[in-house]
Amino acid sequence: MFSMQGICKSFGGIEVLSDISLTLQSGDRIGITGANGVGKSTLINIATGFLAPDHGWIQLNDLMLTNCPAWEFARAGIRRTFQSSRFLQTATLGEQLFLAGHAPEYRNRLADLLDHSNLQSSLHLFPDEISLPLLRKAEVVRGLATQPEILILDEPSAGLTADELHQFGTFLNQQLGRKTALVVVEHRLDFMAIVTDTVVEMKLNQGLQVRAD
Amino acid sequence: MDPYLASVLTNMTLIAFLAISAYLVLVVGEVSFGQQAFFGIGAYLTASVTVLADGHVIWALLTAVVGGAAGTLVLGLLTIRLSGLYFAISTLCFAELLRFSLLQTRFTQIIDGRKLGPDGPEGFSNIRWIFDNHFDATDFLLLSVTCLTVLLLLLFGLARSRLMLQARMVGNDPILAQSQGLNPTHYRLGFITLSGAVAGFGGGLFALFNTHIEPAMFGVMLGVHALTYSIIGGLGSSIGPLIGVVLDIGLLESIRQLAAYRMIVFGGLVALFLVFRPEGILSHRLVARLKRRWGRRHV
Repeated sequence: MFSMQGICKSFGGIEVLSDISLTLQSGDRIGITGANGVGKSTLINIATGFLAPDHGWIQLNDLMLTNCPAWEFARAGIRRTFQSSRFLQTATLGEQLFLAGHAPEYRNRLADLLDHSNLQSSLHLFPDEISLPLLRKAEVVRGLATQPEILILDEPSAGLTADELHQFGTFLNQQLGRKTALVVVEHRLDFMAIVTDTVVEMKLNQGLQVRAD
Repeated sequence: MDPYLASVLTNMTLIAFLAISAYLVLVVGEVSFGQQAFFGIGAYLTASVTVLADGHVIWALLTAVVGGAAGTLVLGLLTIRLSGLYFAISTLCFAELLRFSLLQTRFTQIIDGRKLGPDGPEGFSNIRWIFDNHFDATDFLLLSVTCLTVLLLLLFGLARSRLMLQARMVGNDPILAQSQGLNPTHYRLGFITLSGAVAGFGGGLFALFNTHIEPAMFGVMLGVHALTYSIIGGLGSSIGPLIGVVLDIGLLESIRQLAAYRMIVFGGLVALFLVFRPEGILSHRLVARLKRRWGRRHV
């Protein structure tokens, strides 16, 4: 379904990713861990189109995405979250969730997700009036409401306590559905154990083949 | 109505079109120092259609809208790869280029014994539409206020739409916008083109009202003022730029005792706002609070 093959990326002559491959099937749940600086963020940015690889190619179903801009990745169904939850600061959460899509499927899925979350009471608030755990959840809701092929989470544990992280993981497990593939980049292995089936470790300057078992 | 008051109010209304056009560019996160050029394009096109081609005023204003939009679209397409500072500089250059071109443009014709048409620095005189149609100052004020009201109603509709929220997302956080599947280029081009249409229309009315236009009227300071109206008034609502217009034109320029100090007071005011309330009077937050208080929720 999704395939990234032979991805290499250097910054200023320093090779960050060398020969990375990632294959995902519908419903796969993969965790990627590794020390700081091994290129986890770079990998996410390439998989979501925010960076173009120096070598290699990226494909989703029949669609070649190599060198496409990030918004095309998102439209094709590759959605991501950010380490520091990212929302428009000048609009309420409700506006941002409800106005993000207009298709009936989107509206229905969003209503369903909101019913199963505790976000209802925060919809009229601005992002900076909402606690971090709820924002994390809202970011996942925003992504899942579009019924993406792949959801990529960038360090969802950042800033959450163990309890909050556990709750977040439970919510994610309940709401992910069978179809969406999940990629979590994270170093909290306890969280990985809740939401992923396979965990791989990235190491500096070593090629990597990631696929679910 | 007292003709002086009517003309001050009309002037405010016309400048409001320019202010709103600068606001539309700010919405998508760009800064334009060149909206006065599209205002000027609208003015010259309207004058040309009514005077030289003897066309109906509706056609004249429509030409102004299309001309303004086409001008911004061309500029937008040329500068689409630029952003931030570079875009701002290119708008400034474009506006000055256009003004200097107008200074060189002489296309006069003798019609009914009068020399008509653009005449370089002398400008374009004898735009007699309001005289021929017996509009007095109050009539024209009514006309321009009606047009502005229609524009504002359209913008209020836009403000509640998905499109506006997405445009604001593009303007505030292009990375977030892209991660939501939005192509920032489309929104930038669209809003910049819309801004040109609004500026062109305002310029068209400006030409009809002034009966004489010249390149010097469309100088950089006009564009700078138009831009600062949103800084003072706030980006939370399309009413924001109007507050700036009322403060600057209504209070400073029109009250004769204050007029001499206009630039000093207005410049100071802008500086104070940038320091103490960079979001302007009607910030997004204030607008949302007001809506909450009035019980109209956005969801």
